[in-house]
Amino acid sequence: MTNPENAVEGGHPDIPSWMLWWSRVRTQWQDLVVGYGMILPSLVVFLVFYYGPALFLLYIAFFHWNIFSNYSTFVGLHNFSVLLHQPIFWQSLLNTAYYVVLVVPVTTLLALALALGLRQAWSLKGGGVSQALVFLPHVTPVVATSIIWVWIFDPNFGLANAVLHALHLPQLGWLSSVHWALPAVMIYTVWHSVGLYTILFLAGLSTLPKQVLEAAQLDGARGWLAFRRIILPLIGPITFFVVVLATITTMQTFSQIYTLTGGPHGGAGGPAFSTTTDSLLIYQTAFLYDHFSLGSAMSLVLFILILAVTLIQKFVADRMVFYR
Amino acid sequence: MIYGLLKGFLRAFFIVVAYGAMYCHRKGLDMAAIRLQAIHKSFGSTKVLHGVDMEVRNGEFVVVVGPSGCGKSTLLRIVAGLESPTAGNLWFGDRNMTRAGAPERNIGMVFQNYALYPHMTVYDNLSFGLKAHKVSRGEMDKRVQNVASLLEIEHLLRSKPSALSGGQRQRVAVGRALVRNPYAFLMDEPLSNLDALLRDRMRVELRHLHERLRIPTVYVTHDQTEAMTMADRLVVMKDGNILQVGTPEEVYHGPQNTFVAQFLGSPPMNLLSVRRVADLRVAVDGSQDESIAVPPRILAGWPRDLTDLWLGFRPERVTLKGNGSTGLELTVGIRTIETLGSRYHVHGTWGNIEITWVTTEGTNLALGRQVQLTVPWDDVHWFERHSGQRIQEEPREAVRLESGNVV
Amino acid sequence: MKTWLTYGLRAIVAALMAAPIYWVFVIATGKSGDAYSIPPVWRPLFHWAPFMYVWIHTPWARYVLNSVIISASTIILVVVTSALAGYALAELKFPGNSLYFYMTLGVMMLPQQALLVPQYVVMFHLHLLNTYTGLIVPFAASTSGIFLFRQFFMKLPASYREIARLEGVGTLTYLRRVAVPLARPAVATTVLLTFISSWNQFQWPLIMTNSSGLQPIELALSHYMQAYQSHWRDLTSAALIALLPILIVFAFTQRHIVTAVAGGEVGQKE
Repeated sequence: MTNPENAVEGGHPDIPSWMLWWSRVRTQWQDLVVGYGMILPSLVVFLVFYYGPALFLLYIAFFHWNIFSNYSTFVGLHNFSVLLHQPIFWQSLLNTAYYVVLVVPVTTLLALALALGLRQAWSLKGGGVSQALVFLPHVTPVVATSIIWVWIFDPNFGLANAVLHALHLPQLGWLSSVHWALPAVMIYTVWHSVGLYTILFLAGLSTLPKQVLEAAQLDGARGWLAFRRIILPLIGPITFFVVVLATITTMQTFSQIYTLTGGPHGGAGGPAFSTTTDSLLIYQTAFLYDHFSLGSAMSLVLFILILAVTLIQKFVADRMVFYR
Repeated sequence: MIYGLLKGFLRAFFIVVAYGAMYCHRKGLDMAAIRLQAIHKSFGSTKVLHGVDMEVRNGEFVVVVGPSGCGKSTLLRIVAGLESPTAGNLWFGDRNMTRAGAPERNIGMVFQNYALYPHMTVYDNLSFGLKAHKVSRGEMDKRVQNVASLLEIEHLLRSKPSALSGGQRQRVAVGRALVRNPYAFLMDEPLSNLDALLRDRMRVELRHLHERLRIPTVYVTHDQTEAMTMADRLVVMKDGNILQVGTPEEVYHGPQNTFVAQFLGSPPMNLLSVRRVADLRVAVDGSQDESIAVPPRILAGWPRDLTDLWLGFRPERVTLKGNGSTGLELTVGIRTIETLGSRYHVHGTWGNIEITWVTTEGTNLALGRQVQLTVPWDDVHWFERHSGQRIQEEPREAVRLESGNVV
Repeated sequence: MKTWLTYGLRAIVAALMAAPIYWVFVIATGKSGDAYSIPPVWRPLFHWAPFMYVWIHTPWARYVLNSVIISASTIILVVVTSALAGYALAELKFPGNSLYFYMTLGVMMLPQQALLVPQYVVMFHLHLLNTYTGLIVPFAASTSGIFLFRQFFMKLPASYREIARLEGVGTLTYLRRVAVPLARPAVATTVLLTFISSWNQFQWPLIMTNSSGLQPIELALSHYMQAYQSHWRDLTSAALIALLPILIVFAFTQRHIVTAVAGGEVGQKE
């Protein structure tokens, strides 16, 4: 029993410190057991299907192996050296770079323009509905909407050439042309994703003070200046977020390329490998031709590339956007 | 023969049982319903309670009052089992509950925000805890009905909390605590979300409910009116220490230190800084008057080195000079008059010193006017300047403020 | 004048974005040669016969059922795991709490395309290839779901939980009877976002299954597309089957979805 007269600040006489520690542990015990029990289901999923495979990838990329046999040998960097001697690998990286370098800026700028230019329009009557229509393509299933886009890009009867014809422009082969197949996929991708980024920009803009945005509504040079000096720094963080998200997503585009360019025999990536991007090549190497060792080496390269691009973007953004 | 032996045994047995029962009964009566023993609590390196001793007797309504951050809510949460003390013991009767889980304590608690579940009807809110304990449907119905009729909320059982007024929500919150037949009631500022008028009514209602049920209650508040009007006994806290415990009258008329003196009572007690200039004379800092003679019965027994003092008197004890009583005499210029209908709060200055007093007599009041006031010596409180502790009428050692366990 | 300009601009942008989806409808319900007409047909004719033909004479009901089974199971599992983990992260103190928070965040950072090969190996060794389980369980936990619930539970007053503790109500009962019902907007958002992503699932079933009995609708559609190239009316009719549930759900909940995507939080009033 503690005598109050002896109670000294800073310590509790008569009660050994291990007992205090034990009482604390006991009170936390329940939270601990219940807490771990509650995170367990999602933890298992994350570990087994995401973190586990990510670590596993580091391992299998250095082995020569096949999923259908128990035979596997450590080959060091052999898989990578094979990879580097494959022209198609370089072709796929080039295609991916071309695709990303065009899609990301176009989508970002278009989304920014839609968000800024129509910012007031969204708040007018019926704005919610048109905003929803802009966002709608993003929630539609890729294969289902690809079907109509294959028709749109049909060289003879498609809408795309009908529009070009109406504008007195030369008609294009689109998906059957080596030069225009990838741009066609880009157009689809921009259509499918610009709504998402518009919404993200609008959300970012809505946190800005109203007067600042009104300054940007002024026309002419002053408006541009206001935009560059005031708005741009303020929307820097959200723009960075959008660019990173768009880059990571476009570097991994798969479904629309597979669907739009897939011929009757599943020859996705054509014509003449002009639309074979990294993820498509991984899919084909590993799952069509069962070259699992090569596929895992490619996966690791893609993993590192995405990480590197994200880090570079972060570095550049730190320099340009935040320290003005 | 055997029959006789048996009879003797039986007799002896009954006597033992009877005495035992009497003993237990007496012990039960003597024992406090809730007793806190040297309770310490720290959050990390922040010490919130510095060894609190306190008890709540059977059927008693104890109000813990103090400024915000004094540790009173933590104290309540320790009793409830929502926090565990860093050191010390908690007793319910003769059972040590220090390590008992919250549900085992069977406490009914009312929170400041009532914590009524907005998606459940009043009935579901009341019966939620019972359902978890697998109380039968019939028993549950009966208990809810009883509590509802006691609190006059029967007609609200099917409504959601959002449809209720503040006072009704308050009653439902009390009902939820009541429906489990709690060992004790704990209330954490239960009235502070209500408007002033409703607060006055609920004060009376809660007190009335307590008169009927006599469940030991700990009521935490920062409001001195609630503290004074509702408590059987008051516990005044500051900075994690208990400063004083007693009935409202005891605490009001005999504050143990300047903090309690000023915290309770509105307007607060006037405190003047004074020095003892001679054996029986004190000088008031900041007044132009000569030193004042103090009757020997007050100052005579005090240690000679006790020179720096606080002199305090309550505003309502101030009388106009000339009604015969002797006491501290002041000449005060009136600066402000607050009219409260039945009485006036008058603020004035005596030299540089602000003086406030309460009077029911409004006819002589006018701004700028000088009035002669008297405070009977029996109504003057004396405190030691340095520690703020009360100087007892019978000389005795001043209690150290640091240990603060003046129970 | 300026208002009319913005109205007009807005209408044009919205129409352009919605046009391809509109043409799915036009071609699916049009005459058989409409896809080849020059200039293009732009008026829907509401001929539902080809749509019904595709629906009845090809196993689309089976594919839809597959998609429904997969989506529904995923939704239920995601809500359960998200509510549990979100509650643990928001309300419980245990060592590793913040570590798990960052682990949850980290899952979003992993590039999905680079993980497919090792994921396939894991699925192979767990005997999950060509099973419903293999199409459901890997998506049974979701970062955004956990975050949504965590955010919502943090906003509930602490006294709700404390009262339950005093009354001896267990954590799971409290979660089921009080916390989750009060987090209805988070439930709704999680259900909607999970439905959309799991209905639109394509690449995962493409790699992880090869039996037609398991195919969800998107995968079936891509096979159909390769088999029936240029049969535009059949193709668009089939596409319409995949599109319609999304369109219907979106039509009723677009405001909710848009806010959920924009802020991850929905300002729904109780």
